Amino acid sequence: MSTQSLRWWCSRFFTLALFNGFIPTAAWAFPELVRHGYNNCVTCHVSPSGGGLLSEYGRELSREVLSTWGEEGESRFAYGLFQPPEWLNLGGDVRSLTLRSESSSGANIQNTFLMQADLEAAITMREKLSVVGTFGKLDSELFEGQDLWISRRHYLLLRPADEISVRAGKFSKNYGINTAEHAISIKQGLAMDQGTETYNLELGWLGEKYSFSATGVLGRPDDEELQREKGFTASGNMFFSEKMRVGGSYLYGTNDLANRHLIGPWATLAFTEHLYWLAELDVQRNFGASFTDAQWGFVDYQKLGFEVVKGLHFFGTQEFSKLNFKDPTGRTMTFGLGLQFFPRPHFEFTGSWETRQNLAASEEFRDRLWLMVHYYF
Amino acid sequence: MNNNYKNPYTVALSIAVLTLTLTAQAAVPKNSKMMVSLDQGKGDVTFLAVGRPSALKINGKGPAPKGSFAVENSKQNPKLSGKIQFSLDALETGIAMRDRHMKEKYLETGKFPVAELDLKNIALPQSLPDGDFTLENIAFEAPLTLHGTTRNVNGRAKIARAGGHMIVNAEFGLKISDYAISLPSFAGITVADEVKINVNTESPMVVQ
Repeated sequence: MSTQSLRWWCSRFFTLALFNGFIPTAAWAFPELVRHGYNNCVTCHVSPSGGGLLSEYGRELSREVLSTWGEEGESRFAYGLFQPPEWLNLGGDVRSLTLRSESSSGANIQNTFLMQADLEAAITMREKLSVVGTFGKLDSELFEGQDLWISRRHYLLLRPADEISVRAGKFSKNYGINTAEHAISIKQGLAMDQGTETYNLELGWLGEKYSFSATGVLGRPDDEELQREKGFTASGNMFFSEKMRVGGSYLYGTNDLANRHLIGPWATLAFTEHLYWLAELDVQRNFGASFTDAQWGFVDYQKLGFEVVKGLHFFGTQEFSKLNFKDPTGRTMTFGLGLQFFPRPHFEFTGSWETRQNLAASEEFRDRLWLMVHYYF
Repeated sequence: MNNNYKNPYTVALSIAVLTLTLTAQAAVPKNSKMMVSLDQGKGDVTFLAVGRPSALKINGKGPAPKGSFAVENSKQNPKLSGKIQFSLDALETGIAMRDRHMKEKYLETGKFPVAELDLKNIALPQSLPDGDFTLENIAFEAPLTLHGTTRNVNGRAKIARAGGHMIVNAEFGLKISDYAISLPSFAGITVADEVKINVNTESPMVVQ
């Protein structure tokens, strides 16, 4: 198939997607790009902490650096069929997941569901002030009986100077590595995955070598029943050797049920332009309303990746979680191997085999396979 | 018999004086000229620019410079002179579209394909020995012609002779706006005015 006809099919796909109301949202952060010297998320994303709507530069990079193939203009919104005015940035993501896992009885269960279908827009005024928001739909089977139309993020972003950003609104608090894999120990395991966004006030400083952010976490005043924690986070990192970033984060969070301190170092290191390593370790002290003593524990996550050819990555992962040292059964361990493929701009395919031991359920390791299809625009 | 010749201290002293005399003669630099043709050498030209607002580091790279220079060695006034040309059309930053913008819209390499550094009588801090040597941290000021505009740049260089080759590592900074180039902007990233340049060459030399 020629690249021209591929592009034609891609534009048809987009048009169909649009008219089926199956419109997208936010692209995910890809911290592995540190291997090309991209140390700050705002190079590619509108959000200072990464993820979500791509900047114009991020779109271009998705073709030139991230994808195996791609033609000029292909990475633009709607393949360039519609060019929004300069003050308007449009984008979004659709992601589906097929998961095949082994139950405790040994039976295999397979499910396919829509993880995300959001549209995201940013309106920028005088290059300093942006209004950013997403609007999307949840999977109707997975979230049956709930309000399916949601806005995961909406915030005001002020950039009084190149290095300084002030953000107020609903978004994920800036803690640790912002990676797309949200169902892992350092995200879901710490109640910081997709769907746990809170209202925050964030101050950020981005430098060539150092970056910092401090966030006041205001919880979910619009829905107190969710018991989202309030508190604050601080995160900082240092960039060195053109391809290495190390940082540390701290969170204090409290709600009616518990309060916790969470602290840990993290790193995104590229040894070459092809070989990279992501790692995060977090120690948590959690004091629940019904506890007599504080619970101490930790989680870790590591991903070692290798870009075989441009756009095709082979990776291995390791996760460990033990959030209460005193609980002998409260431990999970996961090892995984996978492939990630970015064939052309707008498309990502990731598949992984994982084996997991959850001592609370069984001493046996159980396997699971998952395939994620991600269309970002 | 003259006992002085049998005195071992006298013999040792004579040998030491002879050795020192010969060494001193060898260390005295002769007036010579080392001609270096960069066209036959290898190396590269790199630049580092910072993109705002994300503090993005943009690393560019081009092939070895062309041209030639001469190192005139004398006891009183050792110096370096020559002209070095950089091909701007061959610069690459790792993103093809960004390169095209840089060359077509800002550097206008169609009209100004080459940048030239004119090294005129750059003073060397000391006279040079006959054999291999390394001189570091040599300050220089030289006119750089870029985009049809000539402005002086200041930098530091390291020069080393190794066998029949001359190795040069030089770095200098420039302001884009000094050369009638508007600040490059690509996909929302604007390049800061100051850019750092590094020149690395290793070329055969001829001593005259």
